[in-house]
Amino acid sequence: MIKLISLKKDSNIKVDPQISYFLNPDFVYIPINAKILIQQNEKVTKEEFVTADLASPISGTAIGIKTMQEENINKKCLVIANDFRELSKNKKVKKRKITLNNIMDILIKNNEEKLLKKLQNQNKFDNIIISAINDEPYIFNNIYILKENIADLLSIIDELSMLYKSNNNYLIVKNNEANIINDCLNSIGTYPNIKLTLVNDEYLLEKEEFILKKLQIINEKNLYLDVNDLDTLCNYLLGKDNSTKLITISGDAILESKVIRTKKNVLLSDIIKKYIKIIDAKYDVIFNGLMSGCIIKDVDNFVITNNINSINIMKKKTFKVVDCINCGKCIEICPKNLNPLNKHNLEKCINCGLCSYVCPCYINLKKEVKINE
Amino acid sequence: MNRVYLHNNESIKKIVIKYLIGLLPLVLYGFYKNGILLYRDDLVSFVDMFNVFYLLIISILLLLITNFFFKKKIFENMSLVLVCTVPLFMPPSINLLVYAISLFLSLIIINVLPKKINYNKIAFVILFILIIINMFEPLSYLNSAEKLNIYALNFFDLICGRTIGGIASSNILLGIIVLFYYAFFNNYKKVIAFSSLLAFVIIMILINNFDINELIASNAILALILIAPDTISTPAKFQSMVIYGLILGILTGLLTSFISFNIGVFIAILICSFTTPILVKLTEKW
Repeated sequence: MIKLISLKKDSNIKVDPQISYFLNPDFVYIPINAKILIQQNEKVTKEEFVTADLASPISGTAIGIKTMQEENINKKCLVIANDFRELSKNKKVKKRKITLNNIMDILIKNNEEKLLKKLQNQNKFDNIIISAINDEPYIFNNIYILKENIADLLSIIDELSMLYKSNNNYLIVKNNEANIINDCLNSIGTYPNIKLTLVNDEYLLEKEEFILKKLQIINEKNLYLDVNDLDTLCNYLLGKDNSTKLITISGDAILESKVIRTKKNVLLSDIIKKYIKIIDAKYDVIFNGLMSGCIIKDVDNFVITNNINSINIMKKKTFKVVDCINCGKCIEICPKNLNPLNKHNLEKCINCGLCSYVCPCYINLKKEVKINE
Repeated sequence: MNRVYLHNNESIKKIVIKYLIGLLPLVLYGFYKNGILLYRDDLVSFVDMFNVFYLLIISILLLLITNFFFKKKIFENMSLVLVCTVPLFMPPSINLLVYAISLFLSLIIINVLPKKINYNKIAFVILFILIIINMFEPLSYLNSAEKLNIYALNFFDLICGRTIGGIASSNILLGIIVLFYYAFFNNYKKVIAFSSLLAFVIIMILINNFDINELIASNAILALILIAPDTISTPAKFQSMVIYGLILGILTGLLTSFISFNIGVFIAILICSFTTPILVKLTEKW
């Protein structure tokens, strides 16, 4: 049994209990990864596919192409100017009956590859596990999604359990999230087939492999979804808007951390200007977590795409790196039993960052591992 | 830049401080046995009573001097642990000048030798100093009282530190307490310490025909606790550490019994440290 650890956290970083909204950006930037389906100056409606794989989250006009930053990579993006009318060609979709075929149709139509991979060609699961955990420190997306939508999400879990004839249905929450536990307990009584499972605040429990080991159901046929995935599916099935996403912006270099519901593909700098007060002159901006994320090179042109879940704005740190003392802490802590010291079997690395976290010499082992892949 | 932004509380400085705290009881016992007790019996002068502290002060000063010349900082590596461990294994009646010169030379040598060579620096420095001491006078680990053989000691006395050993490395009981302190609270390769001690004890019992008194080679036991688990020159993987410890324990038992009771362990540790890269390569895929 792998021993998981709790990460050291700063208790002074507190998050605003209310969700903030950024739903009226002036422009959105759609990364061009596939064929462009519209012309310049053409009118665009909300949720209309503007490239073969991505839909516009707003209605407006396509004004051109600009090079922006998608996860620190320069990417040409289609720029759409917002007309603030939220026009949509899609007919108002009523709540759809949840059947296997309907689910597949929706996922195929909306290019939801991640969900398709999990659900395609499946008609039974022994266990359905819905995780409301965010591993990375100072990130609260899943908890806030659960808080926002608990009734609908519990209803969907119930329907999925009947559809897939699951024996057990788990809703996983950290035991230190007192508010959401309270909300869950108030609503979950209606669903006796859903078990509210509390787990310790340990790093890597968000990952499917580790939570299944913790629940001791790794050898069974399991459907593992996080709350974000479930919410996406729920929105499709209930005909709700899927043009927004939740991101957490937190850190010790800002006055107050916030969870923000924003339109997809907006500029990070626009959100920061509107909602975030930076209190330290020297700071780093990191996306997707302090353990497995990256420092953003160009904050002004950084686009919040679907893969961006969090932004941490942290006081600049200098790490005094010294020679390795061969203590073996990185080997001891690695959840995949790898050896960052002799760089053996590195293709199995899951980029958790624990090797660097425990290194007393402050060596960036994660970088060493990735270079040698 | 792809860097982990969070870090736990461990750092080289904290590791070194914890190691030094562990050495304190041994130093204090050494001061008691080779200082206070001998002064009480008029076997040493008041000034000579504090020999163990003089050795430590000299060692730290020499480290600061060599660090200055080689542009290193004191908490950037484990060298402070090295210079504070070496004096503990020195003979009680050591000449301070000879010690200072030989330690200084050995510190220069270890700074000049290429980093690629894998060896236990503490064992190397101790052996270097003892060889130089031996050039001036025959090496003896007996203090003034032990030379006169004026005490009648039983087995328990010997375990509690009244055995022949270094100036602060004679108390096996304290050594075992330090071992558990390091094992639970520090960045310490306890697997090597435990496996080498186990192999050493078994080999000594077998070689000496179950004579328990031969087992009380305090230098060997304390060296296996304090010097053998040196982080830099030993393997880091669990299986490699177990094998390393067992080989070291056996070699220590053989060299202690047939070559030298007091310094066999340092030779064994040095030899085993040279084999670490081979052992790591052999156990890579386990």
